Amino acid sequence: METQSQVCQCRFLESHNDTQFHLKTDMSQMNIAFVNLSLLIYLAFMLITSRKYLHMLQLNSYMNSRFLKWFLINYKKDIKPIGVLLVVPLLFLWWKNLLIFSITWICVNFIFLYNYQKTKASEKKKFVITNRIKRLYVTIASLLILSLLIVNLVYFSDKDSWGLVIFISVIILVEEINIFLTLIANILNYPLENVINRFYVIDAKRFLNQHDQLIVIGITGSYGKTSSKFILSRIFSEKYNVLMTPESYNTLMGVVRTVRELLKPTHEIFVVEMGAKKKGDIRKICQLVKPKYGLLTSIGPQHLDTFKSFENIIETKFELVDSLPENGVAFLNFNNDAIRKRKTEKRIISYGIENDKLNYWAENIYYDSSGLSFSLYTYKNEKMVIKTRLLGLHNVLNILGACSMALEMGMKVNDICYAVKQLSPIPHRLELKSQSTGVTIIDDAFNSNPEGANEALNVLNKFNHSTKILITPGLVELGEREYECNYSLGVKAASVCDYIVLVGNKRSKPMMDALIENNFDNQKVFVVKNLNEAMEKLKSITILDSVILFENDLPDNYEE
Amino acid sequence: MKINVGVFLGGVSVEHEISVISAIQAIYAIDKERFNIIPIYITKNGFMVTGNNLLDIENYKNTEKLIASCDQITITRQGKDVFLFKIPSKRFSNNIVGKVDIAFPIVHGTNCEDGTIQGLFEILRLPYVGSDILASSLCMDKIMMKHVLKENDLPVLDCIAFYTKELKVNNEEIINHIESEIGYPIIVKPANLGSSIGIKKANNRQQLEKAISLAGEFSNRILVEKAIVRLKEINCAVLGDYETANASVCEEPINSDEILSYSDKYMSKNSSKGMSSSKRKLPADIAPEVELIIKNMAIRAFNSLCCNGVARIDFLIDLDMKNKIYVNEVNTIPGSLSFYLWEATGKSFTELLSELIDLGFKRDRERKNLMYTYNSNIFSVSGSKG
Repeated sequence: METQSQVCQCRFLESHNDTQFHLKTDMSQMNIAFVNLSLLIYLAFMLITSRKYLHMLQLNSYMNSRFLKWFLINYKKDIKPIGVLLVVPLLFLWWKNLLIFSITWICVNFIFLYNYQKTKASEKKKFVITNRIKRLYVTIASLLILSLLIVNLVYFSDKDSWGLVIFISVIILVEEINIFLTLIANILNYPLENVINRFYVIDAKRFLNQHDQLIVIGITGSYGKTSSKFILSRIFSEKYNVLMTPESYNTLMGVVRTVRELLKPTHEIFVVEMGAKKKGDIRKICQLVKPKYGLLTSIGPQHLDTFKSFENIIETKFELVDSLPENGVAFLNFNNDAIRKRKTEKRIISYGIENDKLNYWAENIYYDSSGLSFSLYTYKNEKMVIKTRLLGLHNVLNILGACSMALEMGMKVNDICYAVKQLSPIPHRLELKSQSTGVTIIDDAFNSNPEGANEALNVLNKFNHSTKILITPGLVELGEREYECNYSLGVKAASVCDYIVLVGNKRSKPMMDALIENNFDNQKVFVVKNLNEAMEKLKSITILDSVILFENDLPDNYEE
Repeated sequence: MKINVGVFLGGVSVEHEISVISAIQAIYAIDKERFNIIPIYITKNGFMVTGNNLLDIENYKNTEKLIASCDQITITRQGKDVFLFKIPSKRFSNNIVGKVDIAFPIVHGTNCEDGTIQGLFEILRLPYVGSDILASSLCMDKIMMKHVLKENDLPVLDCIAFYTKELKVNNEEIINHIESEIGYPIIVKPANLGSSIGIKKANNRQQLEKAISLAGEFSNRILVEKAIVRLKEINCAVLGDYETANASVCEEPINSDEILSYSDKYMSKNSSKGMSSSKRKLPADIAPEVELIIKNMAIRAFNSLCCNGVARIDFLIDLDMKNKIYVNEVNTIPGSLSFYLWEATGKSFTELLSELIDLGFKRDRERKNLMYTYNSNIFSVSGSKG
């Protein structure tokens, strides 16, 4: 009894005497509470914004080097002037006023969040929340929570340490250069991901081994492989149950996923698109799926930065050919210099345009309002006429490659011709639209590169229509090359078109210059403000039997 | 990896037992290297059950015991596959008892062969063997089938069709009409039944009324047609689809009764062998040029009715009318899948079955290549671009 009252007294005295100390404790507790609050808000903000970097990481196949390279090119867009605001909380931090620091930092975070939501760009290629992304999120969250714990730990051991100030400063810097968090998480997860991937690969291999009747076809190339994949699958579907790697699942793990999730016992043919970002990529996919037939569509200087040399690109693409078995056949586009020159021991079937030395070749390429047609000749002295709604020389090659493989595998000519006729173009990519009014429209609105625009004009030129009309705002977002590219587009257009409608005064200036210098009839050029005006103009000049090319997109934000 | 073939047998149909025999024969002959069989038995009251006991014909002697030893199931698509789920489902166990890659209906008669079961497969987007809904229901309905064949210049016996209830109300009037239009002898058939059930010949008014009331027990619609007095029956099977249809050798079934009756078809001596054990002349005793005509007609009938897989087309030859040939019936799932006709043509039962399954996959691919839906949703198109 006695001792208890003594203790009570003691406590009372203590608290009574140290009011000042008590106040200080309250103050410091409030400080750390606010610091924690600001850290939590920071944590939430970082989790929200890391989506963008995780997306980029995903697009760069989770390769840190490529991800960093992307960042180094784009950092200007990502480090925004608004980031200067971070100086404000930093100042208070270094002044060791934790309360005001926390409040300002919370404010800045909300401003950032608002700004982030406002400037969010639409995603061309969707962000897919895979299990791997989920694991990265977990790692990022753990890193952030760890930093929060460290802050508390340091604070409670020494409130005034400079260590704390420096540690929080680093955290703030990470906010500005957000990419570090994603990068570190990716590095930390690498060993785990490797183990998981290896398991998936083994599982897919087991699946494929069970499926011993499956005929595997590999497709690779710098461009044209996705189109070829669709064409080939459509043709083979006349006779077989076909599985193809969906969308752009063209990496080893993409193929593994296709096998594990989509391959059914009913499938007879598996068409595998193989993409490569570095040497060995294609060989690894081949080791897994063991293709019997390979199609090499083209080799160009794509991804030269990661491959280092053009020779490396050629060797990498040829990994497909080199991986074929004894009885395998490689189908090679001999219009491509790099492919033609590379020697190989494997059995090859060559194809190309207007070259009767090849195994399969196309001649008499002809356009009309129902599409494109050409004659396909074979080394067995056969000839067939192929008709399709797809346009452009690149599609002639894609169809040719697919047809030669189908013919070699013994498919019937009728089936092949029918399937090719049934192919539908990708919307807004040299898409042929025949109007009931007798007007033919080529919709190339989604194209924005100079080579594509040039090919579109080539296609327009090949049409036997009396009037050829071009509607375009010119090419945009080409940086330093913009004037030059638009000028040469103008030169080409002047030689092809009867009428030209330019959308946007300022933007179409380079094309206009080219038209004037090439003496294009100025009665036949119209400059309009927007698409609506262009359509009005069109009505006044469109006559029966005309063909209209819509080149490049005309988005609302380009209206002048 | 073997392809999982779901063989559907039984069914709520008067030909329930025949279906079981045909299906067990097929299961016995199927290529086990390529296919994995999952039997799905539709009981007489319409439940679906599965289990390995269904594979042995002996077990069907006691169906109650057989059904009790099987799992009752429901069939559902989940993601990219179609599964058999045990019902009633158990909470803490795996209710999936099987996966089906392609359905192989070997069921005869109404509620199955007539497009009903095909409708189930269409809804499930499950590839299946044999004729689709349209062809199945057309061939099951003798009246509609005649319309289509007639329109395609194929010879059929003219008929008078009426609703059973209509007849019950205006009995006198209709019977007078039939007598004056057709004249005895007359054949009376329920509109939508296979296997000759309910079909009777009438030589006078009394027999006619009896025959009509018998047919009326099986169907709401009845047809009557002229009976051929001296006739020869010829059957010919067709295999393939619109591109590849091919005819088998012809057979001549031998009747004890005047019409190839239910008891002839299935109940002669060795009943567990089904259609394959009926008495017949194989190949049929007909001139080569007649055989050629019949084969040709068989393929045309097959195609004009949009059939797929194997179908048996039954012909009648009127010996009194300069051997005039009529198309009488089309069976889209013939008894024993008419394998005996194909064996006589040089194609084994095993080959026939593999070909049938491949045809099912082919049709599925063709449908997938068609456009059924637009990717855009009209409810979500924005105003400015709509």
